[in-house]
Amino acid sequence: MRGKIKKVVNKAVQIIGSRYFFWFIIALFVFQAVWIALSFRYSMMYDEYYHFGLIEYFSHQWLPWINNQSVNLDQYSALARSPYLFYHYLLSFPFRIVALFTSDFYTQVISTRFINIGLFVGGLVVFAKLFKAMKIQPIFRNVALLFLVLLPVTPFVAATVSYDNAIFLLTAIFMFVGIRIIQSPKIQWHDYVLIVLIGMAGSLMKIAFLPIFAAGFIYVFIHLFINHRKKIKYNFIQSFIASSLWLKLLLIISTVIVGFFFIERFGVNIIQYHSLEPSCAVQIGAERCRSNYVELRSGDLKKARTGVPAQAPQYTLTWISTMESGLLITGANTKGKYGTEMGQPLPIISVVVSIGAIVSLATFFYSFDKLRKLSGFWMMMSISILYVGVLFYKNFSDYYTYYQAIAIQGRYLLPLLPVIMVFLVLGINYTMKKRLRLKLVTLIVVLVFYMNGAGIITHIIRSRNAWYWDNQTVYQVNNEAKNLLNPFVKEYWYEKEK
Amino acid sequence: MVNSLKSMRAWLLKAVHLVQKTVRVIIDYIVLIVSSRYFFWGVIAFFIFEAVWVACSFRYPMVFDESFHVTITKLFSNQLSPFILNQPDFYDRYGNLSNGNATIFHYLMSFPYRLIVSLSGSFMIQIVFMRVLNIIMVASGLMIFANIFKKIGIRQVCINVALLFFALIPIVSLVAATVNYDNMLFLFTAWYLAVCVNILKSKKIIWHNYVWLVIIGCFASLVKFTFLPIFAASAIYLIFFVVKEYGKTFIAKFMQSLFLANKLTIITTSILLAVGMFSNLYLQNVVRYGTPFPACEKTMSLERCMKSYTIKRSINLEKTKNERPLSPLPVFTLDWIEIMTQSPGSTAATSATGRMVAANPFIAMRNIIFFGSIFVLVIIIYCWRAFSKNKGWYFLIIIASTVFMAVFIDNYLVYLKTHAMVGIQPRYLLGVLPIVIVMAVVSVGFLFKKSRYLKVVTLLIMLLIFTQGGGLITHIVRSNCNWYWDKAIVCEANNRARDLLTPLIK
Repeated sequence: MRGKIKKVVNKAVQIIGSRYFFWFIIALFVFQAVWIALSFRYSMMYDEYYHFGLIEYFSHQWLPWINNQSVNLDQYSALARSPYLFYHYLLSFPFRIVALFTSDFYTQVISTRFINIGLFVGGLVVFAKLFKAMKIQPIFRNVALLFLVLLPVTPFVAATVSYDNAIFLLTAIFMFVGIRIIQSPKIQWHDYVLIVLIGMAGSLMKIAFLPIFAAGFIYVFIHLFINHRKKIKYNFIQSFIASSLWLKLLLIISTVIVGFFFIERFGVNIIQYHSLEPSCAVQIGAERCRSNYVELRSGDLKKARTGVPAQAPQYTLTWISTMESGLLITGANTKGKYGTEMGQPLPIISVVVSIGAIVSLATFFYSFDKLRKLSGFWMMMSISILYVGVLFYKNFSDYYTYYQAIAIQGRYLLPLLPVIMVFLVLGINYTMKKRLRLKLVTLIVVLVFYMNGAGIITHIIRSRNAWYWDNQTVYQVNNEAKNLLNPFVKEYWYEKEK
Repeated sequence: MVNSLKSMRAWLLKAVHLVQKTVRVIIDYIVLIVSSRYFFWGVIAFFIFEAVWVACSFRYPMVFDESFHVTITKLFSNQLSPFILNQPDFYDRYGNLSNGNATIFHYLMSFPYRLIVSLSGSFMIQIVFMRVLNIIMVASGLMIFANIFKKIGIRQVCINVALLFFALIPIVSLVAATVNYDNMLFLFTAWYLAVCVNILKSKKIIWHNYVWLVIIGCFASLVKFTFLPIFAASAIYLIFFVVKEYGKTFIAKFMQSLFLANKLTIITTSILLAVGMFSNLYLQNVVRYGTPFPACEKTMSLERCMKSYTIKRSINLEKTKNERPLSPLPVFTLDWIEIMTQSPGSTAATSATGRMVAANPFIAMRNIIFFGSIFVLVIIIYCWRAFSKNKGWYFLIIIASTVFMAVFIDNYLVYLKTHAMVGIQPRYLLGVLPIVIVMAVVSVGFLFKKSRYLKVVTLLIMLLIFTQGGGLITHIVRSNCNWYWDKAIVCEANNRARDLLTPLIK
């Protein structure tokens, strides 16, 4: 009997750690994201109207900036000095190709969503490569990625036209290049150029990439100076000479172009406006800014501000709670681009994620001495801590401006979640030591509970016909799926009482 | 030029060396002082001073149900029996006294109460006297905790620092200065844990350890039913320990040790008394009502129960629960943490009008307690290997975790019944808090290993933060004359202290 169990356990471990299982995770992810992309109507709740609108706008011009902003564009806030346009500009090229073949809006949106899913899949693949480079065993890579793709927010963000998908991919590549630098005994000039290039490109897509760029850049360059000291210049030149002409041309031209945009945006913004991201009112005037929903809300909140704000501990708990539920919610804009209707997290997955987070964080700290020996651990930690710290600080300062806990969204953690999750999985593994059977049973039990709301399930269960495209097949498929899943999904007892 | 540079360099080196030496000497002195027994007694004296100040300042009744405890104590002062068989209607406002609300605390306190009543007719003196007795109980509990920690190998310096921080939490002095069974429970918990640690550390079976275990466990449960989880968890732990350590030889060895003892009659009587009183309350309740602590309406008429404010509130909350949304468990947990970390830094009293008034904690205290708790948890987990080889540690950690879990689960069950955050109070955790704090101090010591400089700097920084509302400071600065006894001297002393302290607090 024992022998049989051992055999089954070994087989299961072998399967979960295999390449096939990794591709199964990718396929599962693509299936979920494509389902959402084909089901949920435009515009999806994570500002899809903004991203798609700007991509569509850029498809009519060749330059990546907007000098004379027309009133029509005011709904997207002030764009002249906006540090968020690079993604829209780049995506406008595949969009032009799609627009060449079809003028059908539905097809255009779906195609752009598919491109975004592609970007996210690219990110997942690169993250897997990154973990491999860090010498993390395949089984832990796969388990972490499985839990990641089964978080409701993951396929939902991937299925939305949003710069978050490009940032996910760029974060993966940025870290991967960083790891290559750390692990390489020699200086490879192209890796250093790449890290700067990706850092600048990412920051031009979304300003939130700056902390990732800053932490990674500082870490890598400290590493360079500690390990190579006086030979830096010589080794750099040697490596440059040894590389091919094409690589040199490609990287230098790309860096010059992206570097030019980077300085043009951030350099000019700092000099002219003393801010990385000048306020809308300064650029186009407060009245025009009110055409943009976010600006309108900010203005109204500031006016309506009353009472005494909560202290840091209370806000921290609200932040944690909102972040956690932000990973598990769903929603749709049922009244055009505004008026988001939210679907609350399903209870069991919510409890599993909460308890899982506490337990895995405890095991993380318990196994800290082992984890810190992983190649690239400190780089990942520096990036994660700075990113989460800046995100928290931004939210917290917004709170003290408006006295409302706004813009706290779980999706902002997505670029770092693969890294965080793989460390947490490793922490649990180290804590459980060599109890293979216990590990497998824990995995299965957690997964079974997690499935009560995992991935697409939350979106199907919580959605209704008004959230979908106006298409009978879409209604029918989603409703049938809902009927199929409903008996397995547990609601809160008080909802049943109703 | 070169020579002058050289001499300057030499002079600088000397200066640096001198500064280093001075700093080292200062640090050595600080360590020497903090690790001494005098410092320990200083901490105890400091704690007593804080609590006595509160006891002598804050008017009756203090917020933690002082009027209930004093009234029941008075009730017992009119009888010799520890049981209330026929509850007079007047006492219905305090719930069901015979099935658990009146405890052995009230009975035991009735004796010093009788004494003070015979010596003084002043109500203020009577209350302050009883408050001081409560303070002595907590101070004694602290001394026993210090002994426990010493027995399991914690260095005196860690014990001293941990107890100092414990005494600096504002709620500690506030609870200690109240006539409340939590104080007697604190003493009994410490005493009980000391006996348990004795059993775990002892290489042979000593009968009186086990006898004390039963007697103290039963009496502690009779002081307050919240001791039951500690009693149960420790009993399970010790059974496992005894079976593992002695196996089937335990009974024989125990009997062998017992037969060598004198005064068997006293032992038997004590055990019978403790177990008898325990069974009379809890076993009887379990048999009759299916729970060790039955709801009032199960034992008395609803009409009589509704005279109690707390019972009336609970019943009303249950009736109206559907008017309030039920938050998911994770949200409840975060709200629970928020309350549990906010209240220890706050203060409260009954004002001259008889209304309860509460004051929020100072920002520094609020933050240090909240973020400090997170830091403490993380550091204890990280430094686990510093404790892992000690049986006594494991035991204390299990007991502390059990209490935390029991309080959380109890609060959650009440929440499910009422959809309201009621009865969530950090004072229920005070009995095991010294264990958690000493663990945190040991962990910090382990983390900084041999860097005495870092340890001392951390200690000084922490103490500096605690000047922003630690201990008595919050009670003095946040209160006003309405909170105090109607005595001019009390008001004046507190006002002067406030004037002195206020400029120091940011």
